Amino acid sequence: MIDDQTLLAWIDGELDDFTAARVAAAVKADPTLAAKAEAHRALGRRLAEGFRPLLDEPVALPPRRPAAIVSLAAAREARQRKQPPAGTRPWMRYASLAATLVLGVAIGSQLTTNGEVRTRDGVMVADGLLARALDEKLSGQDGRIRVALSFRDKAGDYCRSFDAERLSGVACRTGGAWQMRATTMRAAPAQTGEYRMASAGDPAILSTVERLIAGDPLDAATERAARDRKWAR
Amino acid sequence: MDEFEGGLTALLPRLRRFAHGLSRSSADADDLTQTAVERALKARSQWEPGTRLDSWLFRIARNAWIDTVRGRGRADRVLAPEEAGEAVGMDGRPAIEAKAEMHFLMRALDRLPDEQREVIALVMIDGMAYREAAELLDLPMGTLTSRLVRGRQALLKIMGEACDD
Repeated sequence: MIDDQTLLAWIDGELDDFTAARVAAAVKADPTLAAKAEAHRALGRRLAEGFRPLLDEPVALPPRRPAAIVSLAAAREARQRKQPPAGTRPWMRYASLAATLVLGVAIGSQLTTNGEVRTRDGVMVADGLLARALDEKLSGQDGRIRVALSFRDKAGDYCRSFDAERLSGVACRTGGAWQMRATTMRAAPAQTGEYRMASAGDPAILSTVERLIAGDPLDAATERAARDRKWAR
Repeated sequence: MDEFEGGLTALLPRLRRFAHGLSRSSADADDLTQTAVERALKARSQWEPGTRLDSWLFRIARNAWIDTVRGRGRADRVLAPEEAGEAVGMDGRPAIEAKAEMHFLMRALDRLPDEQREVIALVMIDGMAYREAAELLDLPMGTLTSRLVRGRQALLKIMGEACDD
């Protein structure tokens, strides 16, 4: 007597040779058992064939979301005050936007935007502390001005998204200065210890990054090398 | 693209097929595939190189399915979309028929209890060996095989009814 479990294991090729031979002999000798085996074989074929066309349809990894990189770098940096991040890992691209909430650390003295940005030939460029931060800081380093990520734009210029106390934005290194490509202002400085949106996660900043970026954001080593070359193309 | 992403990319069609075996519509299956990939990318540090990426990934997909699709309950089951006609006008006739067949199978699978359905999807659609499927689902072999038997018996009955219509 062959039970269904054994019969199906035989069909699936899961039996040892000895038991398989015994089932094969039983199926040969018993038309009812043979019919049942054939019905299950047909079901198996139908399931295998029915879903097989999916294997021929191309599937790609989800599109990258620079948004997530920005915020995750900031969130991680806030969580663990350690070395600069080890680089932008691919999975960071898909991190949840929930990570855009980071612990804001407000520091005593106020930065006025006057000291951070000036115009030169009608173009807004970074000045003062902001210019220095963009020149020198690596992504994820703490401080009043933090750089969220660095990347190259389609012209090959280096660009960096940053987050200061009341101002955040994206600036690209062009003509010896950091030209602003997008900026957003916050109305009031964050309170100490208060949760606030990581401003590098502002939609305007993110869409600018998305629009400008060519390829992947710089990893830690590339970023450091670019900084040491003073962001020359 | 590194080894992990390369391996993951190569597995995507199989993952998506497995997701179709679990889901009640193609839209749900694609959502599930997407969720599984996102979770896998976030959890990539938990995958040990040298171990099987497919089992690891399928386990993530199966857990995601439990969290989402399965959690919605059966109340809206009667509203499961009829998708047989969706390919009309895009593909040739064989492709339409292939889609219709797949959605027929998905509706049949949808009538199985979840614990039978996941076993069928792994063994009969993906073609996993019993042992791999049992390990992936964290089940004793005996439980896996009895679910497989009951699922197949039920499917034959369901599809027999459908053919008699």
